[in-house]
Amino acid sequence: MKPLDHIGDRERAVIEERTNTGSGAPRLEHFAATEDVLRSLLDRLLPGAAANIDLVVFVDSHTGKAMGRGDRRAGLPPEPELFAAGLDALQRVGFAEMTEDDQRSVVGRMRNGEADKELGVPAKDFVDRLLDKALAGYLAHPDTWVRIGFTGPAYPEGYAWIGPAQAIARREKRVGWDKL
Amino acid sequence: MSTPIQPDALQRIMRHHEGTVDACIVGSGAAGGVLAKELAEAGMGVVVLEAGEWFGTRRDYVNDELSMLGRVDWDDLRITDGDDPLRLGRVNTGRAVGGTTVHYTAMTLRLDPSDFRIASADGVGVDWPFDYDELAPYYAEVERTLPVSGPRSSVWRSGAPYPHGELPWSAKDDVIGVGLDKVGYHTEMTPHAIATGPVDGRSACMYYGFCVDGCKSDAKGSVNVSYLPKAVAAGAEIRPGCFATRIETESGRATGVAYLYEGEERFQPADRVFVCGYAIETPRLLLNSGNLANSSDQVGRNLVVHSGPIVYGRFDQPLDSFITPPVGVMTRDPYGTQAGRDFLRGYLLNTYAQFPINFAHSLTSSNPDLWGEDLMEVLDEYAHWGLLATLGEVLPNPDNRVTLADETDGNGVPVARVTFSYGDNDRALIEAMRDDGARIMEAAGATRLLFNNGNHHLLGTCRMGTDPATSVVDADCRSHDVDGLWICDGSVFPTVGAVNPSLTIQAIATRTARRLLAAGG
Repeated sequence: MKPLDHIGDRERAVIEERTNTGSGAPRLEHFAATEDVLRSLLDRLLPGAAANIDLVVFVDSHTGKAMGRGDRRAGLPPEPELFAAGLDALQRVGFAEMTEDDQRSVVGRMRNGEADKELGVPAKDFVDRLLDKALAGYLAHPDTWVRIGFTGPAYPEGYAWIGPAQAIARREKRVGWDKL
Repeated sequence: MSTPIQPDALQRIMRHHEGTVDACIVGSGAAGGVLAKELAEAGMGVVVLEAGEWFGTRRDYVNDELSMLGRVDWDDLRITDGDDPLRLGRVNTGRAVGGTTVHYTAMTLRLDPSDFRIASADGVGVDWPFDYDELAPYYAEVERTLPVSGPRSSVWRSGAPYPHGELPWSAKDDVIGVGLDKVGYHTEMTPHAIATGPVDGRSACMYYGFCVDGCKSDAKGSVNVSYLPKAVAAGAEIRPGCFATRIETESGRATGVAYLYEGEERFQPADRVFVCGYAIETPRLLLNSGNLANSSDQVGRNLVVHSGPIVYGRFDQPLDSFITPPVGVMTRDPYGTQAGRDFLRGYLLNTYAQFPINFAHSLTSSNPDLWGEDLMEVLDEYAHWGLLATLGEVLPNPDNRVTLADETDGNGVPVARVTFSYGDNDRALIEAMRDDGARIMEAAGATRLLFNNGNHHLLGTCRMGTDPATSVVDADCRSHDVDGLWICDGSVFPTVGAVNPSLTIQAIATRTARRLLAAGG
């Protein structure tokens, strides 16, 4: 990533806000009663996401926000109800207490549309939309950018090295090729 | 002295219209922006009603994907159904002064002459009420105004030579270009409405890479920097935060637009009303205006998208495809109907890039088994994935349509219900694009492939035609039914070819303005 003092004020503010984890755990607005279910589900969906990125809080606080998706399939409830129904159904089957393998089995069935009946909810829609939310939280974090090789904002300087040899040279930290 | 382009400076010089205006335009996007400039420069009093905000490109855009998700998009509720329910919002509808051009990739292509005559030539769809040659001078004019950067010459019908030189090739173009070359496709840099030199006080492209989150260099010719400043300089008034609720008529003539501003109901009287809300909100507004302009029963019908699965390829070398404008080189060799294929019509291919959240969403939505460890591994190699986007022609079907849902929005206005299913020809074409893309990525050296089921653009829901029984507007975008009412945006396309629609929308809007002025208004 470009050094923080090389990027625009608004971009820098966003990065500072996201990397400042603050003190004290924020309260969950929607899913306090099923927090352990949500946590286990997110641990299966995005295993090994850095511990300092609190996806439980992110998903809870962004539930019901459209975030660029304005469509809802006919027959589905609004997102807060969909998530609540899904998490409640998983709580009823004891998801948080299952072994990781069993949890993975449930998630796999949900993602393939094979768990709607057993859970009594639109489970595929639930897990797909929840995964979308979690991915937004995970991939918006600057620590993730460093992990995955995303170079982040370049405003106002812009990127200079855009060719294939330059992408390699930059990673090899060759002298003079360490600029973005 | 060049015209300012930021809203604070424009608002200082902007005229404010009282009473009945010559033209009220609903929607400030690709078409609305063009109409505003053309009509204002011809001396008309113009008011543009825009539901979205007027963003300052430096002040308000943030080069950060999450911050911009939903900010410039129409992500209000739409109900979807059909066999292939559509994703709506960021992918295809904008909500801002500048409309969808604020977040578009600015891929700027002309339709091909064959695209105007697919019924006569191929026995499918319908013919347009005019042909390529009629639109050609307007294409050229828009390409000069935006301006468009692109190749000096092209083997395909295009606007080359373009006013600005083409964007440079980047790593994704070099690597995937090898694959395109090996399968025998001719490759050119895609023409873009992205300046590569300074123009009208706007900078050349600065390679921020965040084009789809709003261009902070103003090199991208979104209408809020390319057309609307000129419209304001000529006396047009842009009113952001104004949501049109109903078009009013009297004795078969449009009289103005009712709208909401900060919760208050207002009315803008006008001698002429132009509906430019793109292919979902335009029919929604007409249907909510008492089923206006719909003696043909075609308002909302014939919703067409472009099919567009993306072929993802993992490469051993890093591509960093996200650091340049997302669209790179392209080929039109598969375009149009060709012998020896099991489908009619055709497609194009181009290299592409997606930011991390969009990349992840596109992949996980189409690959149910992609989650957990496998997903984390794909994401960890994000910089090694190259994308080949496809854009396929889809055929119109009257059962693909926009109607009114039972649900209402925050203002009590019924929302759109969007019903869509692909047909047999569409599916055969989609499969061919996936196969072709896979072949190319393997030839380029990809070690793993993934696919998504993408679609792009929204068109066709107020189709243009000569027969009032089967079309909503005539060749000049005038409503067949209602005097003083024009519908001018992507809704009017009778068929869609296989190119991004913005240039054609803007050419049609230019022609519409010129035709109405020539006819004395």
